[in-house]
Amino acid sequence: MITVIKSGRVIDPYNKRDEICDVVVNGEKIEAVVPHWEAKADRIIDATGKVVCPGFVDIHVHFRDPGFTQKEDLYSGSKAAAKGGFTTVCCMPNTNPVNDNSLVSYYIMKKAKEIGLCDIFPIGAITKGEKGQDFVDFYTLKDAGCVAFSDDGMPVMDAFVLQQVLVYSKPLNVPITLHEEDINLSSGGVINEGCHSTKMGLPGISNCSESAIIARDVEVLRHTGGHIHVCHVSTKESIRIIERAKQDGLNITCEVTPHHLSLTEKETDGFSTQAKVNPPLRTEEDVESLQEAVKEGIVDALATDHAPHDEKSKETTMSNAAFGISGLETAFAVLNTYLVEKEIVSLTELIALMTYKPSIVYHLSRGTLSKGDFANITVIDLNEKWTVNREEFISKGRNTPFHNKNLKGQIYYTMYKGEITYERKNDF
Amino acid sequence: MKNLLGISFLNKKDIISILQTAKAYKEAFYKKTEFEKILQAKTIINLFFEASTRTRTSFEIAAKNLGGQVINIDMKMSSLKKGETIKDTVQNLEQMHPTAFIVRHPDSGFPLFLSKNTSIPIINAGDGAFEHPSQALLDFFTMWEKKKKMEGIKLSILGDILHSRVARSNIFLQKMFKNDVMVFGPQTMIPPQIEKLEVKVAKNLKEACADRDFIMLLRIQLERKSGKSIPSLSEYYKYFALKEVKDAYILHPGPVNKDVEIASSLLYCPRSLIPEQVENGIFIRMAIFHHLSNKV
Repeated sequence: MITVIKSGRVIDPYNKRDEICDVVVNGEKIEAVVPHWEAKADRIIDATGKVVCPGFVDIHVHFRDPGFTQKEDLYSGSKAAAKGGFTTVCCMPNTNPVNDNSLVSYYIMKKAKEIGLCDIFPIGAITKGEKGQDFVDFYTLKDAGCVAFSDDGMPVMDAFVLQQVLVYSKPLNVPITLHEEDINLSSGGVINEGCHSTKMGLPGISNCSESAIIARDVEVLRHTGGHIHVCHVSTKESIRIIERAKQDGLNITCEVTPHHLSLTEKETDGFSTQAKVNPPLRTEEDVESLQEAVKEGIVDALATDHAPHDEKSKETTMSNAAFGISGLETAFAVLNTYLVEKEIVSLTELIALMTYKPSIVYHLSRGTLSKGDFANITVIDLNEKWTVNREEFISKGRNTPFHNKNLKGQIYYTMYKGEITYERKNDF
Repeated sequence: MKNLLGISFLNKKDIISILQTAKAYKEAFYKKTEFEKILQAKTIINLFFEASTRTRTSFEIAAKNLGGQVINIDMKMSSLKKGETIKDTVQNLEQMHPTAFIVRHPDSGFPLFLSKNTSIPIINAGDGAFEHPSQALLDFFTMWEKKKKMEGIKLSILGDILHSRVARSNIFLQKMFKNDVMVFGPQTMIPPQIEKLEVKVAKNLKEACADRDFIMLLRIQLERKSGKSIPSLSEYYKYFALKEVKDAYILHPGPVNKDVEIASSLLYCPRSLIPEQVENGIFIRMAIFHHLSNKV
């Protein structure tokens, strides 16, 4: 079957394309991207006035499956991904049981294939049970489909363990993805350490609890070699350390989330648990420094850290509430509003950071519209202004600090392997 | 006034009228005038998730003075242990139609959270390191009695400011009246960016005690995290405790660790207002009930 997405502004950063074109899909692959497709078409999607780009790639989501399916499961998470324009996601291993053995990886891969709404690549744990002590069967887990390894949610506090992990896994050429938080420094903290934590009498999480351990790990990496990917960087100091490590030629990459690029600790005012996230929302200065880092190309990927929670986990005190933001359904609009509309980065650069760039970090071969690639495509209306309403989330987690915020840019169509996985109903 | 969640939820007018009411109650007490039984046939429920003697008893006496009855629920023994959520517990208790809940909890913001889940008025008797409004009100009342003014007061607070709800409520209150507040303690006990609350940090004990109207000591809370903030009580006593006083009055929310934050000889010296604070606590809490029942 031939489908033609007609007359959209095709932005394919990997192929340096930004022009009005037709994207031709044959079965589950891309057949051609041409100015005018004259030959036959079984289905035509009119994309006039819309942006057509590769489907988004999110290298950091929590689908909570197996074990915490009251918060999210692979199906509800896939639907949320499709609604957000994502066609590829990588699932963190902090499920129950933890994805530290090939059985859990196979379960995720098998179920993802049955659901068929997006690629779901599992990320294996670094240590058994994410306990930070004994490392996992890296070779076995890579063969089972894991694309990266992470104890996300927990740091690898023991530097010797990290050293052994980097050395052991080096021949596999897999990213070791680190949640950087020195838990002795952040211990008990619930929001950013600063004037807000002081005013509310809440234990704070200092900038240095993140940057101090990144600095340590950079030195371990310098010693061992290998690839460290730093999750959800949130402070200006962390960015400086990563920038220097890159200048030194180390294989270090990093990601930043939409919420750390847009919101500050102010959101926690009135003890708002919707804004409780780890790492915490920081200061204006940190946000600006992260935006600058995106602009300068220090950031390799934008990733949501989609962390859905049931209502009960957030309907409590700040100290008791779960950390996390449900991010898939607002990601593009947030980034478009806070980065592109404010002229910090171009739309092309934003799309690059949501498509082929994260794909390169995790060696996924996704995120382009090259002939012969899977037809994973997102169609966007850049001009639509909308107000976030958490009640409309498809994800089981409706936890968001963006509720009632005005954003610009809306996903219109998401196509995964030639099939439409999301279609915005009220228009088009 | 619907709830008393904290000083930061009040305005100057609220505070002045609570103080004036407390003053009237105190005068009535000394004139042996009978208090109007505004809480007659009404039930107040104490929900204490943390230990308290002074505050709980003080609220209890205040309620009884106004004709109310007080039920104490030991939350450590409650059905929360059986898996009921706090929201469920409170909604059940609500069906018993209490006039108010008096709440103490180790989490900052707990009374605010509770107030969003019940229509019954909430009185905060201390939440985490956030607020202890009745304490700050009784402290201010005691200062007002001594100085006969609410503005132009110079106060120093000494001790573990970081973990202290008494410090925060007092700072919020004093800054509302544009008073001069200084804090002092080991640097590990001074919250980051405290100066953003327009509070000065004294360099040493001498500066903290010079030219002050009031010096407030905080209890070194050995059961909290203070253990990792100071190396020893003997060093604390030598460099941070109050051992002499000239013109300033001494305040302490209690209970006191003698010869830790304050020399025991100062406890009942003429400059000490500690007994007055305890006494005034009753009248302030009566005034709080008065304002909650809209009898102004």
